Amino acid sequence: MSLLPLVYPSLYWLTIICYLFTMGVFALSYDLVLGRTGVLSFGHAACFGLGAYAVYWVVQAGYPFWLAVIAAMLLGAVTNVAMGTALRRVKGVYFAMFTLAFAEIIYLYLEKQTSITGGTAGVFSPRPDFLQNPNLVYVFAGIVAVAAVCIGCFLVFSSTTKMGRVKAVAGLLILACLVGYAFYNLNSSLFSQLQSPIAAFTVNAYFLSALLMFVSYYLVSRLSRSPLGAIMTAIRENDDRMDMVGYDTFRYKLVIMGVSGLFAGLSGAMLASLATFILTPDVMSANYTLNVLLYSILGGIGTMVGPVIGAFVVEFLHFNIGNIASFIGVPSVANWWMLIIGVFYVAVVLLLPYGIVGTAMIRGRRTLDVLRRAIGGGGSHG
Amino acid sequence: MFENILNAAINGFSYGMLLFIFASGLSIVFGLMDVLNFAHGAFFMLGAYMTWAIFSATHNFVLALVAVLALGVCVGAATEVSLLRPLYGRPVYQILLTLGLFFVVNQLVLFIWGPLGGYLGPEDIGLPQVIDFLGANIYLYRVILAVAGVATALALYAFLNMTNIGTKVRAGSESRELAEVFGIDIKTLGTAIFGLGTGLAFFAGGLAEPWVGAVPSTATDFLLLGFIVVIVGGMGSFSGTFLGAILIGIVYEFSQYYLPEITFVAPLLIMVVVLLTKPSGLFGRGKG
Repeated sequence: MSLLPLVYPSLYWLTIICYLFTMGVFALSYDLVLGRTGVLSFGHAACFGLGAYAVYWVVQAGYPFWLAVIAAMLLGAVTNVAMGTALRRVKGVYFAMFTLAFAEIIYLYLEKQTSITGGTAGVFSPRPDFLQNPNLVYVFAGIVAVAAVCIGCFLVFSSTTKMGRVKAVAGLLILACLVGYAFYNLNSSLFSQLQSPIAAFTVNAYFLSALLMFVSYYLVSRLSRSPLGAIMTAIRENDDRMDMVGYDTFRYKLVIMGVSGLFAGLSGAMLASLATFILTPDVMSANYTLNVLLYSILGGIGTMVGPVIGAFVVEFLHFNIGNIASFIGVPSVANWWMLIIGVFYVAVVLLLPYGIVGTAMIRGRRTLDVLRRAIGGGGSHG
Repeated sequence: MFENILNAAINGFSYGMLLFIFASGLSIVFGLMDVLNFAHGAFFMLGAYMTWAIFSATHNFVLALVAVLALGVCVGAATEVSLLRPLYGRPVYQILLTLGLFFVVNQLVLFIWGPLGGYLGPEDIGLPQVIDFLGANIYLYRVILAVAGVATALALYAFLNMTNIGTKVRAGSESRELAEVFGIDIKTLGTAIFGLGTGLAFFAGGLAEPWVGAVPSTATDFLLLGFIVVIVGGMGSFSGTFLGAILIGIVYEFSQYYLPEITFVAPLLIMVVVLLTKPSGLFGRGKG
């Protein structure tokens, strides 16, 4: 997928995919809180929005960009931990209401401070200059090509069954074709466009957001498989029992709120620097929290990849709803998006309670069992 | 000066009564079924719009109100049976469902009636806008609204405390399992109460129509204020909801008069403070 810009040159799509990756990281951060630990929070957008604005403020103050990103992550973490301190007093729905109030207060207050947030009109969001370097594209592309080949070879040599090896080699061949085609495209329109800083920026932003997305995913999955992750799952399963067994659930919840806030801040920083031109206080409002909630339940809370896929699906639909609508023949449905979100909520809750990935995992297991029994237990393990 | 304070106070009290009618539905439903009905705000808006529509057709405000109340009960019962029942036992999902429903109803209203909405002034229903009271001008409709609110409160109180069904509702709110052991059919009761709650939302919307109008922003505004009232007053506590509504109403109106920037922030802050100091609400009975 990272070869995408080389294979299908289209700046428009790259910008959208940037946004998708940003929302993916955001969804990932929310899954840590809701899916892993079972804490319902309606204030997550506060971390996200404050992270985005943190980048703006730090860059405005003249500090370098990487400092802005770190500031964004820290601000997100601090906000989330601040919300989490209420967990000592309130739980469940009450905590959810508290977070809603907390985030809304922040949003309402900052929206009025036009000097620092630009009010409803927003501000021009800062973009890192180093990403406008066209040579960076070649660097990224090279890294991706090398990584893809390495992964392919690794899969070939590490698979233990014949079937697995055959599949890996097939994948590697396909990959080689793609890489070849990509380098053939080196002379095509996209690369001649690269001299314009905006094009270069878009492609670089795409690569960077993809990189951040994968790195975040890797970190979060490492976290989930660590002892801390196990404690989180245990807290989700039965909070009181963990308390009685002797774990200080409050402290652990604070920790996870902090970590989640870090990633939420990161996604906010990604939004500000990579995915958007204008930054409005709307990013701190309940809108974005409800969006990320939808990604999570659509994808499947608790599965890490679920909310990310949920984010991709929902936002992809969001951007293309116009095209899809005219394809079906329904008139301009620009304002129907909220309606569709509502229908999504209702449908997912009623029909797909485990989300896309969750249901697939459950069904997949059953299907796998059925297949296994049918084939007789042989063959590779997927 | 006196006029301002008097107006603010009267407005605050009657806005509080409006909030009370709205929030009582929310509170009773939450008490009995542990469902935080996010769609309540959208139902309020729907009630306002329907009242406007019915009034435009029949020119009879009282008829519109009664019709809307009945309609609300039906809509609520239908919603509960079709959408919430399958999710029994999973309160988080029920809440998410009501959230989705909120968006759907909200957008449907906007779709049917357009973004502008309608406004019925008190003149349209045959009342003077302003009357003279102790030398100051006050808005007559809001006084009527306050009276209606108190009447509703008394009716609800009577319902909850002096009827069989009311006792069953209170029992079910205390402990669902025990009530079921005693033979109370919580499922049907839940449907009825959800219907009642939604009916109250519709009714509140209808009553509010001459004041706030049938405009799109009412759904979210009232939903937020409704939640604040219920939490501040204490979920499941009738007097709590009543007094909480008055408190929030007065705070809201006084902020509108004197410090408009904090109109929404002030009630939110109150909710935050209550949640941090006495999570069960100012008058709640420890359900926090």
